[in-house]
Amino acid sequence: MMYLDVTGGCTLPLQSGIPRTTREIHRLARERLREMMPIRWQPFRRAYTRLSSRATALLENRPLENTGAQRPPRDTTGPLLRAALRDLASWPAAVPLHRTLGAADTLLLTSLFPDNRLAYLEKLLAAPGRKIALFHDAIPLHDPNVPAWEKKIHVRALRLVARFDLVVAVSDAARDDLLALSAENGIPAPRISVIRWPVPFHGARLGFTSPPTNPRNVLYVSRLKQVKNHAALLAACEMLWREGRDFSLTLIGCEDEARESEAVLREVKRLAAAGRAISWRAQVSEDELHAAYRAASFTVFPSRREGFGLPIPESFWHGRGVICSGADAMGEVSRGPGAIHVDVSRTEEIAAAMSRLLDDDAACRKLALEAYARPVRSWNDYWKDLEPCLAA
Amino acid sequence: MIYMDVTSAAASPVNMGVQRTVRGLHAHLRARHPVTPLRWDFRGGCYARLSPREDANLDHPFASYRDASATPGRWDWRHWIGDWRDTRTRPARRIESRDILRPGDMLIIPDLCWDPRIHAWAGMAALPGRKVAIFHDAMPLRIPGQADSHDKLFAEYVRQLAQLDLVICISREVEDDLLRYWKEFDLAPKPACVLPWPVPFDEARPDTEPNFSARRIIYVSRLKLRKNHLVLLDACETLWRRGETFALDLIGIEDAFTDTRKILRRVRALARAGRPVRWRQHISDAELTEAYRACSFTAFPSRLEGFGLPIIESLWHGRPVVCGRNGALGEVAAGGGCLLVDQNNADELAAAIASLLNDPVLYQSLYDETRRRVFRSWDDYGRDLDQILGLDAAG
Repeated sequence: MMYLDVTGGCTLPLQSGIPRTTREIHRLARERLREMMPIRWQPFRRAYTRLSSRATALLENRPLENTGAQRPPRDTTGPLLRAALRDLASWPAAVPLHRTLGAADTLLLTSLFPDNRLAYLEKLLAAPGRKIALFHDAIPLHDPNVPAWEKKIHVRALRLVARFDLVVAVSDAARDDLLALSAENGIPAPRISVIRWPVPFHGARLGFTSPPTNPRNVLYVSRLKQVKNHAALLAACEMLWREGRDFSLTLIGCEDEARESEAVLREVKRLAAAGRAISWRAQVSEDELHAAYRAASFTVFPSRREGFGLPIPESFWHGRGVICSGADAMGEVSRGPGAIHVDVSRTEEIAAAMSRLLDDDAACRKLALEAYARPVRSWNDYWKDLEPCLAA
Repeated sequence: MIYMDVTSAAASPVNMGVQRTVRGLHAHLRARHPVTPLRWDFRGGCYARLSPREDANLDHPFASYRDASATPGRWDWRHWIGDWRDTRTRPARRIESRDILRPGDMLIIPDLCWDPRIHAWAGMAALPGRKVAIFHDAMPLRIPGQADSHDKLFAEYVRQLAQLDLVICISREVEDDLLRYWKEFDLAPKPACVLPWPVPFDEARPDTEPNFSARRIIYVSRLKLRKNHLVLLDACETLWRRGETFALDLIGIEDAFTDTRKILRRVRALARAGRPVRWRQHISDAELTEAYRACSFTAFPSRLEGFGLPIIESLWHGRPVVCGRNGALGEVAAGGGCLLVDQNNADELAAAIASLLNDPVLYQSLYDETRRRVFRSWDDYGRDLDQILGLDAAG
């Protein structure tokens, strides 16, 4: 039996990286494994449970269609706990892994949220069966704004997964980061395999369309968080608008903690009030996301740090060039044609790269063609790499 | 005129990594250029010239004490009285920033400024003299929440470094950290470069023979949890239980009370059980040289370092090192003579120690590598520093 912790994909109707990849791994496991049970962590019961009907709907269907919410949720602790509380009402059956996990069983964590499940999983280490975790990133440990007490919880999570049978890192950069963080935090090096994400879209690849030139539109898909560096992008765009460049900027991405998102939203509102062509959507369906990519002349991804950077291959899949950092995981994912690397901490560099594409339609189209010509990984490719890890 | 902030090396006879390099830098820079050492006056909020006692601490740290101690000078009434007298007379030795940062002047700050003196740097930024700092590491930002660690003040220190004209980093990793944190703090980067430390000894390299049969290991480091003494002790206990015979000496000052207590508890428990382990505390350079000579090899299982001076020291003495491979440790160890391990894995550490204790071929090969290594001297360092600072040999 494979127990699949899908908490990250069945709690909130979000379309960010972890929920999307969790849902896809669940779909693949359901289709391809004989025995698989999705489970979610219920923080109020301090136990894993089966999924409520609401959680199952979120996991299996288009998330937006399953909620009556007026406003897309923030991806923060409050909404997560409220959703867990709502699930509590239906009291789904508990899954006592500490008793049921057998030597032939596998527990796969599709993400590791550092909540009170850490204590449970620490006890579970003594139980038989393989324990595998996907490692996305350790961004909070690099963020000097994250307080020490919070970092200690993340270190505790690293210490836990180091004792798992296997950690599946989403990129070479994530693996290297995990090894470095383990060393400096006194944690023995975990056993790690690297399996890169595929392009997270369903269905056949859409045909190439030329990037629109009139009007020109720039797209940035990312949650509103300081590390995502919206501030530098907005400053670069304002610089270009002041110089008279005609383009619109579309931001797509959910809100994070208020201290992370509010400054970005304030700046977006200020620019919109000043008549700049800027729009923000917190949540879109997959079809709307496709449409946004196809309406973009090119995309920018000025994030300072990522475990992978899913929007980069998404942009390539649609045949849209990307301006992004060449460092860490983003450099790894985008290396090659179709991408322009800049120092994302320098507003002027972002602006210069954007202006080259805004001013030169031929260069923009060439970059788009290069992006489209890149090989793309599918979920089938991903499963081929993951399956041996589950069985080993 | 070159002014040098030597606060920590003048304040006490402690001679660990930072003080050792501050003293070495001062002695060798003074030999080539006119240099005035200064210490920060925390009461006055400005620099002050050194008292004769502080001068002595700077030049001859071991003159004031003979015996090993947990922290030299800490429990010495003569040190307290001297300190009290210096505090009373310091106002007369104060010197304003504008007087040390005139056109053509230079202030070199090789100290770890994890204290209120950084708040004066913003005011100094407008003064014409050059301000140059040496940056040792970004440890409290990399591993926050360590005992007695004022992480916020340290973050401010890193921010304030961007007020200076040049920051010299002691390893590639430290420079990467500095540039990264400046980016994270949204600060425009100031010029930074890398200048690794030399071997911090003045005498000629000792012609030490291999000492495989001694079966003695030393670990030179302050007693701090980050330094991984507990993992080393676990590894050694595993080997002692297996019947391996060897001795372990820990050398270094105490650190945060809670960290030191945990480590010493373990040391005492092992010693009570008859294991040949002892803490030799902070010892003089002469004793340290003798300790290197008398050991077979050294262990340096620290999790993270800005440089890892004891690795260089050990290799210079012809003693192989068992150490980690991450970051600056890997940079220093890359030239040979080191057995690289996952220093957080007690089993792996134990296996590496056992192999060096029992495999004479491996030991000899690592020893040969240490002898083949070429080390930078203070003269090499001085030449590079002069070039970086644009100083000619005559000053």
